[in-house]
Amino acid sequence: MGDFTDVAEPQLDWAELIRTYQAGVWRFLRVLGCEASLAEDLTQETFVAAMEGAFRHYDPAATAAFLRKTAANLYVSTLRRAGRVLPHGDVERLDREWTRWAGHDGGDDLLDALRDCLPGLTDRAQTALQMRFRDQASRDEIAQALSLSENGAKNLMQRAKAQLRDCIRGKLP
Amino acid sequence: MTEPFDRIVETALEEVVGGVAPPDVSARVAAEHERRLAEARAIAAAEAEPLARFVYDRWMAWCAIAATLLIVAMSAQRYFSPQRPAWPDDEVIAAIDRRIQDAWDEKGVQPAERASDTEWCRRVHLRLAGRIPTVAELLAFVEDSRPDKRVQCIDRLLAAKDEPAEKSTDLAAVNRAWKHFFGFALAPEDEASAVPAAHRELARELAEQFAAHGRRPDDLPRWIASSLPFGLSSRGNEPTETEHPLFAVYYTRQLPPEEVFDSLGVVADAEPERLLEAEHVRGRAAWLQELAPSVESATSCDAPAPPRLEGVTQLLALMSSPLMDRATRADGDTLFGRIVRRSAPPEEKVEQLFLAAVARKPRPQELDQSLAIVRESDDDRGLQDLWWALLNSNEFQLDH
Repeated sequence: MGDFTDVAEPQLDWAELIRTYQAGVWRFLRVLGCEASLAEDLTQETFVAAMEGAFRHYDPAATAAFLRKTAANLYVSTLRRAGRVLPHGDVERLDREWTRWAGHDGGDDLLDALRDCLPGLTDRAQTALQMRFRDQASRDEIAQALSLSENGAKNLMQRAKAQLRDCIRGKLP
Repeated sequence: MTEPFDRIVETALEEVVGGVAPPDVSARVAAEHERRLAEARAIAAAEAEPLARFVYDRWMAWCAIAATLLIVAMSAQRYFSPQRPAWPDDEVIAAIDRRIQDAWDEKGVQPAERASDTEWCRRVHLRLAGRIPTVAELLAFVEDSRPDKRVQCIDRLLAAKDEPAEKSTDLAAVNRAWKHFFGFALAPEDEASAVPAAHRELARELAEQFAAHGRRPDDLPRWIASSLPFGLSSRGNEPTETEHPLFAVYYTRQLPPEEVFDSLGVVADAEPERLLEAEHVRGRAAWLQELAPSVESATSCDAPAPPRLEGVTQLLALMSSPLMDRATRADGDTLFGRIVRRSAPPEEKVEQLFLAAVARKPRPQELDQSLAIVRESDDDRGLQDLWWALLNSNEFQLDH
């Protein structure tokens, strides 16, 4: 961990603040559609921008919201420079939903809930999700592996996600 | 479009199932922050350089202004301190005239008339050259129509002067110079109570100016010789009750013997430059020593005082001196020989002899008496008698 003693706010422990909020920022960027390596760069840039700006830590929710807003702006700017738009709708809708389910801890509880809910899926559904998210397999590859049609594989994964969504919502406050 | 929560779950699956975990960016943030700080410092330093140059330039300008003010202050201090700046010669001379006149006014004294050109010329030659002027010098001065001819004459004599300057205090130098010109010191310290305030003030001013001008030996003689009191006639009276001389008249004085000798040298050879030659200097010393033999033996402990030949003693010494013999010879290359051999009427020759000896033309009565003497003999003996009488007269041996 670096030394942050010469930043603008001596009483603010930037190292601790980064440790606390960096995962939430990165995850929110991922929710926005940012691929992992760019999300890492933008997370770093988000904290550097906060350190160089007039950031004040009032409470965890405000700090998390500020950092997400900063990260989103950086991502939108990056997309704009590349001539692209947000792939998953507008930032405010995603941010409201994120705040609702993961705003308080950066998504840790949500991930725990997911881990709890995954075993509740059928083996075929778990296999389909593992091939999709772990092995980056295509829908056709998943269909062949499970002896399903492409639409059958698609429906299987949609049902699995819906089951997980309900399970997670049931576990989170 | 994907529902927001579905997108959140999908992202969570990528992390939990796909193993794409969030990174720890703490070190990268710290490093990036430090790099940007260093960059900012470098930019700030680069931006500060013109400012620093600006401040440095202003600082140098202020230093220059401060130095100028310091010089001005020091100059002002010098001006108001006893070490005053040098006045122009005209101002110093005007100060002499003003202070001397102040003392006259205070005592109610009427000064003598202004001395004639011939009187002044003879006087200034005696004071600055230690001898009388030659006839040529005298006539050249009288016929000079320039308004500043007295200044010119003073400068010429000072330029020819060959005397080492005596070291003393500035005030002592002033008194000594004043005494040389007038026979009395301007403000002698042992007579301080009797000295008019104007004279004390003048002595102080002259001492300051003497120092301010760098203590050049010629300055005091130049100023004093150019002053009003030095240009006054010797024919006049000053109230005898005044305790201290007021210099309202030029005080007639017996010439010191060395000046008599050198003046005789002028009329003998008519070449003032020769007075500086070693032969003449040795002859003068021998003459003075021969005629004052008692000086060395008069005191056994104190240094011998300069011989003073006065009155009859000096007159007798002159009459019998070899220099007098040479000065009155008509057959040599002397002034007298040239006047005698000139094809001119006796009146003109008499006039020339008077001018050469006493720096003036003969008065009518003197001319008649002189022509009578000249005409008593058929040859030049009458002129020689007149010349001898003039050289042995009181007037020749007086500074008047």
